[in-house]
Formats: sequence, structure tokens, C-alpha cells
Amino acid sequence: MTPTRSRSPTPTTKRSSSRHPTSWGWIWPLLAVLWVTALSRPLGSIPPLGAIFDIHSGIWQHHEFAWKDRKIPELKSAVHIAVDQNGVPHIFAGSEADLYLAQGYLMAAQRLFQMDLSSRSTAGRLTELVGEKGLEMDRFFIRFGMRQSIMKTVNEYMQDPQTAAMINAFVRGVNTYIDQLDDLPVEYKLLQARPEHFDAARVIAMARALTFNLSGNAQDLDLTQLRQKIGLERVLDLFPEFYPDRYSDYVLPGKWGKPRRPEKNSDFQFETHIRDFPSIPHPPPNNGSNNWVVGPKKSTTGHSLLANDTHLGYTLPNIWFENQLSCPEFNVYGVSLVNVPGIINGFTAQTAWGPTNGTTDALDYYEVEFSDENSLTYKDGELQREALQFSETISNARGPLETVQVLWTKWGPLLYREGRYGLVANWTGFHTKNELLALRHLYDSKSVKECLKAFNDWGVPIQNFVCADPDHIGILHAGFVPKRTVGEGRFIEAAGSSQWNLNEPVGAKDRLLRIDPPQSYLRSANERIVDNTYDNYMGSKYEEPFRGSRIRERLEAKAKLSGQDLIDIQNDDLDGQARMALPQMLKAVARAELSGMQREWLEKLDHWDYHDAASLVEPSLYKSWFKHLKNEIFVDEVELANRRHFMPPDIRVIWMLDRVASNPEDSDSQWIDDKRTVEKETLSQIVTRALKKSWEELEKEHGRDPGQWTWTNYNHAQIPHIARLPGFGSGLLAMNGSGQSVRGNRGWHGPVYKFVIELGAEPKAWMQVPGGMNGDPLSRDWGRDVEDWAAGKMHPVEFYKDWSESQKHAVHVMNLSPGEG
Amino acid sequence: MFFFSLLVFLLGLWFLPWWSLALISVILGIATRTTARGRFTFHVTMAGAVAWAALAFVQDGRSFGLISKRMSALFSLPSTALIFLMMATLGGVTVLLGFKAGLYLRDVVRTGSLTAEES
Repeated sequence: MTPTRSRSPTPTTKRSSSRHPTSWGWIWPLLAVLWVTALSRPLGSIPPLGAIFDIHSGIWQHHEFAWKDRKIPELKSAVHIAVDQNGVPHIFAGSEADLYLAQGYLMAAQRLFQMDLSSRSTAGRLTELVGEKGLEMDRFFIRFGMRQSIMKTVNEYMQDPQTAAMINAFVRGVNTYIDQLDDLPVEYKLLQARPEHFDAARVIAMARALTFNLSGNAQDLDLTQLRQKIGLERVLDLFPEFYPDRYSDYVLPGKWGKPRRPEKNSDFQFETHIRDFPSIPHPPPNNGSNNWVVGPKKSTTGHSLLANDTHLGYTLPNIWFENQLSCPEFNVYGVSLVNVPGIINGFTAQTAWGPTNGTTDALDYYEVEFSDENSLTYKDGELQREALQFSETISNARGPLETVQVLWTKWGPLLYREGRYGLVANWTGFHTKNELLALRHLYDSKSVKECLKAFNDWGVPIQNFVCADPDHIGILHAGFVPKRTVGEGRFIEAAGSSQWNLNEPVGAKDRLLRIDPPQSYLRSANERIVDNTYDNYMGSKYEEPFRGSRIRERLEAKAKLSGQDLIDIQNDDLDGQARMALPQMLKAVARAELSGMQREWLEKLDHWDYHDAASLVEPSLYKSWFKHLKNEIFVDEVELANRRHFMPPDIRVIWMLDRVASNPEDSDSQWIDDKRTVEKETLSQIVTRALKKSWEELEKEHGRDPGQWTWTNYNHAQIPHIARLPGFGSGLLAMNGSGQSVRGNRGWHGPVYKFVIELGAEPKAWMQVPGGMNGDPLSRDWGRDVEDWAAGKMHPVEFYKDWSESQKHAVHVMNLSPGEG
Repeated sequence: MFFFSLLVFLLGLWFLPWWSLALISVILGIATRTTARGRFTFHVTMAGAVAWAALAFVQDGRSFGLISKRMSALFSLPSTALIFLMMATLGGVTVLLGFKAGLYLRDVVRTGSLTAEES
């Protein structure tokens, strides 16, 4: 019996379709209203289910982008787009303006949600899209002065007519697509949000995001805090500026002048008043890349070769957008950064180029003394200055949430205050030049010299650009390299005390440039650029030399190289760190103290060839062991600083192992000793203890059967959705390589784009952008090429001379013509 | 009644926002003259469940099963079939509550009384 089936109070012989309502019948309208209300609103982290699963307009309505002819009001003439078998669009336009407009339209059609999310995040507007999960990041970027920095850059870029025309056309293209949108991307439906129109600031915000990702790391705070705990000398010992030859490899080896003096303790006189160090967000420290060029003398084709792969966090969609841009002024192929017009890395028929992160220290922290803890007045030598104050609002979808005060001093934004002392950030990212114009000049370059000259306009982030034309190769450490004297920028400094306070870059005569070297190749992998014969102080936070050394070794191993050889080198999974560290670890470990199974696996490690192959257990065993070894060595020192993520470089540990192994009384044995115990530990004890702990951890996380500890399971490579939506990313990938191999696969981070080219009369190129161009998670094209990429495969690039050639090979064709859509 | 309400619900869900299902159910409840209310309620509820689940199933098929695959992962469901069960539940409960509310309103309107008379 249903609750409403009430009996009539006075029985009748004929039943009526209407009855007196039961005393609690009113509950049904109430429940109905409550139910509809509940499904219409988010409940905690559960999104509004009614709207999401609405058949009419929710996730079940999905209109995949159709490659059909369209009208775009602001075009001057028709634009033709052909999509090749790799899913790569080739855009042919009658003018540059039409080209960028079409590129903006197409990029929005493929990647709208990603573009929206990415540009909002750096501008401190993430909360508007994802709700209060975005608050912390928004607060940081706002305090870091990103909103002011974006507007300053917009003003600078838009003063140049060519750049302004590029940005304006691109933005019009994006907005035209938004206006024509008949179905929202699924992410908007899930977040119950809508895209808003783009403008120049959103284009620049994305460029700022990449700049921050590549140059927003600094060791100043960590080193200063560690120095307060263990003293200056010991910090300099653990973080040396230079290493002996065996442990170093320079991008530009050779002498640049007379050796300059080394760092001295007296270079670091200033002691900060800051004691409670803030945890300031920073990008992943390993954001970087590989690139190299091979000259005609060393090439099987008789012409130059170039290889480039950028290492960033894995996401679907990919941060890069592969496309060909062609107009009467130029014809260029490569990858664009989402939200940004033009092409960043790629080639023309004459030249090719590719960057790696320069990694030169680009961010310093200064202590500024204010009049009191709330004052805006701060000291600048004998002068008193007023900080500029900006009130910035963070909003969510319903309206303003909170206001963040941004204080700008002469040296940069204030990030933290302790009493009357504050920490300000001086970042090269605040000193942009017109990078977009530099990239645009590349499309016109006909030679390596012209290609490198284009980077005269490059400001940030500092990059090592390699360039090649068919007969020449070159490299330039390009950008705003701070002019510093020895020691500047290592620790927190007093504001106004260093040369870099003047925000002056090194001059043109000090540019780090090489063209056509005798060895006929040039390479970089984010490692230290030059030795101590270069006069400017470059800091000490470079990437370790494992990838760079291995690339050099592979390039030197063959007299002549082909494009396929370069692809093989990109896929090289030899673990440079393991090759240096493991022999000492195996020698030092006390096998008698281990179980039979542990000894058995050590024997396998004895015979391991150091390749981080997905199916092997050895890489997992080694990586876990080395991680625990480092922890065991420094747990008594670094942990004191309460920043366990901040450890001395791996290469310093390897140097330490070598020193103590050859001489147990070496000064480095102080680090091996665990100071929490009375006895003095030996290298053997620490190495054995580390192995036991790593074994325990592996058993706990991957089960007791070591056969399950494969590199695939340990490294756990997979590509998540850009907003980390469960089920929208890739599955677990069986992928070779680690962060210490050229392959650069850290599981969550690695080569998100790969490019190899053989230059010549008919350039032959290969590229791979895992995930493809299609950013629609409900498309069958979503996640395209991920498996191929994980297997190290690349697709041959189809670079067309003109539209007629392009359309012959097209899988899809789309014509955009002027007129109302 | 099942097929009639199914048709109405299919049309409503296809052309109108999801909450129209509740409104339509209220109207059906008000318009229902039968004395076999229990059976009618069951049929209408089933029609609501089938309508939402069936339309979702058809739309999912047009997207090669990718919508149910992503959504079941997003909501941590062990099987994609459960996403359609979830749709059926949404449709069924929405219709049940709307229809029962409609029946109550019908009684209120017809009898002029908000509650049962004292016996």
C-alpha cells in the first residue's frame, strides 16, 4: 500500500478518483521541491546532478566539433584548413591577420576549456572556474604580483603594432568561436560554468604561466633556512657552485676568459631577520628540456639535424598544439603554446629551432625593512619609500569572495612579513621584452645567424635556443640574464645590497653564443652553462648533468648521425645517475646482513645495464634504494630545517659516496655519520640501512613479491586530465626512462613534445605531442597517440608548401570564409 | 499509462530542462482520475526511470560509449551500467515525488481540504 492511498473517512459503495488528502499528504509536494532543489545545487563536493545529467543540455548532449565550412565575420579573405592523418591542422590564409584569427578560432574549437583554465590560473582567477579549491593558488599568484605583471606585459606587447595585430586577431578568433558555441565542453557542464570572452591579458597570462613554470624556482629561502640551522660553511659544502670534472658537464664547455675567483664566506655576510620561513609555492624544479643540433659534417644527410623535447608536467590535453601556419609572408610548422598566437618551437623550409630551459637563477628574495609591521614605508638605503598598494579581488561563480592586498616595493612584490621585515621577490619575469616579436622574427629567418639574431628580443624565461639551417648550427643562452657578482642571489639578501638590484642584464658582448663548433654538435639539457671562466655569476641551481652527459656520449659515439639516430637518443633510457652511484652502493652494502631474497636481487642489480626499462624490477629497486640512501645521509641535518623536499643535489651525493669509499676519513664522512647516535656510522652501515628501508617500503606499496616491483608499477607513468578529473586521464603507461635518463620520464612529468628534423632542400621531420590536438574528453580522438608516445614512436611530419598540396592529403578540410555565421 | 507517460517524459527530457520531469509528473498526478493509484504510480515511476536511462543510453551510444565511461570513472562507479541505473534512479524518484505531489494537489483541489477530515 502506498502512503497516499488513504481511506475515505466514510465508506461508500462507489470509489472516487479524488479523496480527502491524508494528514501527511503534504509531505509529497515538500519532498518533490526538496528533491528538485537538491539536484539543482552542488552538495559539498558533489556537483548539481540534475543539471549535469540533464538530457537536454547536460553531459549526455555532446556535439563533437565538425570539420565543416564556416563563416567568420571578421575575416578579410577565405582561410583553408586541412587536417592530416596525424590529426594536425594546416592553416593557409591570405594574410597574417586572417591566419592568427583562424588559429585562435581553431585552437578554441579544440582546446577551449584548457585555454580558459590555464589563463585564469596565473591571473589568480582559478576560483572563478573551480570554486574554493583554487583559492590558495589565486592568493599566491595575486601576491606574487601576477596581475600587475600581466598588465605591464600587455602594455609592452601592444605598443608594437605587429604584436598587437597578432594578439588582436587571435583573440577575435577565440571570441568568434565562443560566440558560435552551440554546446559547451563537458568540463564546463561538470563545473556548471561558462567560458568568457578572451582578451590580450588572457593571452599574456598563459605566456606568464610558462615563464613562471620555467623560471619561478629559487633556492634562496631553502638555503637561507638551512644556513640558519647548520651554518654557512656546511651549506656551501653541500651545495657547491662547481664540481670536479667527473661530476660536471657544461652546455658550453671551454674557456671564456680568465678563471674568476670562487665563492668565499665573506660573500655571504648578510644574516636575515626572517625566522619563520613561509612556504612559497614554486613550480616543479625539473621543468626543462633536451635539445641538440648536429652539423653537416656529422650528419648522414650532409645537412644539419635538430632534436628537441620539452619536459613539463603531463596533462591531457597537452600544453602544446601542433599546427602549420602558412600565409604569403611565411610558412612555419611546429607547436604553439595554448592561448598564444604563432608557433613557439618548430621549423620553416630554411631553419629550425628549439629551446631548453636556461635554468640560470632568475628569482631572488630580498629582505626589506619597513618602518613598522603595518607600514607601507620601507628603507632604500638612506631614502624612505612608499610601497605601491593594489587591492585585488578573488571571486567565485557567485561573486566576490575576498580581497588580497598586493604591495609592490622598488624591487618587487612583498610575499611575506615578519614584524617590520618583509620578503620581496625580484624575478626576471617582471622584466619582459617582446618575446612574441622574437618568435615572429624566427619565421622570416633564412640562416642560423638570423635565427639567433631573432632572440635579441627575447627576455624571459631564459632559454638555451638551438638553431640550425641546412649548413650551420648554433646555440644561444638567450634572455634577461641577471648581471651579478660572485655570490649574489644565493641566499636572502638585504634589499639594495646587490648589483642585480639594478635589474641590469649582462650585455651583448657577454652573450653566451656558439656557432658551428669544431665537434659539429651542440647540446643542452638544463645543466650548468659555463665553467668559472665566464665572468658573470650564474647561480648554482642548475639541473644535474645526467641527461646532458648521456646526450653528449651518444652524439660522440657515432661518426655520422641520422634523424632516426636522434629519435633513438631521445628515447635513451640509460640511467646516468644509477651508472655513477650504483657501483659504490653495491660495493658498500653488507650482504651478510640481508635476507636470501635481498641478496638474490642484489645479484641481479650487479648485472643490470642501468636501463630504466618498463618491465624491469632493477630500476625500481635502485631508485628506491638511492632515495632512502639520501634520506639516511641527510635525515639528521636537512630534516632540522623542516623542509624535507629540499635536499642536496644527487650529484653531490655521488661525489660524496666516491670520496668516502676511497677514503673513510674524508671530510664528507661527517655527512655519512648519523649524528643522532653516539657511534660513528660507516658508509656500509648507512647503505645497508637504506636498502632495508627501501625494501620495506617496496613491500608495503607494491606487495611482497619483488616480481611486481616493475618500473611501470613504481614510476606509475600516466597522464591526468588538466583539471585532474578522475577517469578523464590516461591509464597506466608501460614507459621506459626516468628523470635521470635522456627519456626524462618521471611518471608525472617528462617529454610532452618531441621533435626531430633533418634539414635540407626538403626538410624531413618527426614530431609527437601525446594527446593530440583534440581537447574534447568525449571524442574518440581524446588521448590520441599517448600509447605511441609511451612506446617512443613519433609520427612523420607532413609539411606542405601550399594549400593545393595540403588538401590532397587531408583527412578533413574546413574552409573559413568572411561573412555572418 | 506506462507508454503514455513514457512518451511524455521522453519528449519533456529531450526538449526541456530536467526539472520539467517533475512538473510534468505533477500535472499527470493532478490529471489522474483512476482509483488504481498504486498501479498508476508504479507505471509512471517506471516510465520516468526508463525515459531518463533510455535517452542517456541512446546519447551515450552516439558518443561511442565514452560519456558513460568517463562519468562512471568520475563518480567512482565500478561499472558503466551503474551510470544508467543512476539515471533511472534520478528519473524514477523525480517522477515518483512529482506524481505523488500531483495526486495530493488533486485531492486538495477536488475536496477543498488540505488534510483528512475527522472520522
